[in-house]
Amino acid sequence: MSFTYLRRTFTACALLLGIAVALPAMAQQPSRVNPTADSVKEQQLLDALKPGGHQSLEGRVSIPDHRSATLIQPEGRDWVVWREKTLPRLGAGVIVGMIVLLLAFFAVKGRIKVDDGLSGRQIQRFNSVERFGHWMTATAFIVLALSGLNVTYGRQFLLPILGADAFTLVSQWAKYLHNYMSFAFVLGLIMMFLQWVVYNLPMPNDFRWIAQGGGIIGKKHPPAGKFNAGQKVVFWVTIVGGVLLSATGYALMFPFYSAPSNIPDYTSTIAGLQSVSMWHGIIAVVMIAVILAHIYIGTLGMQGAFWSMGTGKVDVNWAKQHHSIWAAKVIPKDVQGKPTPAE
Amino acid sequence: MRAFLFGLLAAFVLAGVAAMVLESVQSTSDRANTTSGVRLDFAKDGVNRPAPH
Repeated sequence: MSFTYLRRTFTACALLLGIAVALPAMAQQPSRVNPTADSVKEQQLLDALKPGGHQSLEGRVSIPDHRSATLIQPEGRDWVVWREKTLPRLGAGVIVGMIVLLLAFFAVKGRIKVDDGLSGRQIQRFNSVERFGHWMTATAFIVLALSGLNVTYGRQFLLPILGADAFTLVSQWAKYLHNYMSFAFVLGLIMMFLQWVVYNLPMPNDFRWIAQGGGIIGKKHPPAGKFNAGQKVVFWVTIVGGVLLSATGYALMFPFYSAPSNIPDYTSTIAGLQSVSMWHGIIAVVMIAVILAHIYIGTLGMQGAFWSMGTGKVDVNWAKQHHSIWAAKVIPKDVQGKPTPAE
Repeated sequence: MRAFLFGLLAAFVLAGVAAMVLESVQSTSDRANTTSGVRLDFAKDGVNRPAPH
């Protein structure tokens, strides 16, 4: 056995040993071709979200917030479209539509006057506690509506006027007011409900009032109790809408707290909160439109109506014209001041 | 119009009281909502967790 043969054999063995050791290590080295490339192709991710596939694409994270593992949530895109386009258009249509409608009504009909003129005699319509509850709710609602509209339209309309710094400050305080004024709104709702629910139950004369257009359309003044059918509609829209607005608002204010097990849990998932946010916007827009009509008829639209909530007293002739059933009950005992015939 | 003024004032006073109570609860709570939505329990999730002996 020559030295050369031994040297070649040793070299071959060393080479084989080197290859054997290096192969697994080479297999672990990053290569130009990513063997998992297919799993991160966007098209494949999107394919996984097609109908019948996954609700969302999620990975794994090691931090406590497991929701941060969500990579794609298609409902989020729908919600952004709703938030940025659909809701502003819907809101503008409903709210501006109501303003246009009221202006047109005022142009055609003018201010509804007391047919027999003001008598000079007044009767108590709302006591101080009723008016206090009304104005507290009204204040809260106006602040909530304006600060809520800022969320939807602020960047579009206020930002160019105020500039970034002022708009940021305004929006920050608007957000605080929107959150905390809600408690006054809820308390006011409870007060109004307890005080007026008895007078706002549907009665047979309500259908007659509606059939005759409430006396606003046409010249007849259908009989009504303390609240006519139109006011009852406003009352129930305020109560039901207010409850829904509060429920959805507090779900957004305290996100990810589990709801009671007997109702659908909208508050513990992103998709649920997006749904809650959409409903909050829809209800708010409808309520703003209805309350605009309420403000119109209580101020500009009808002579003598404002004082029922201003001083709590209304003219006897106004009461007879608009709330004849209620007036017949209260006039004999609540007449105040000397009778003054209408001029 | 006193009822109007009292109602207006009461709405803002109530909002102020609610702000003080909720901000106070939030600042002293051992739980917090992060910006990403998760609720952290400081004692359980590591922050302010008592040091093991």
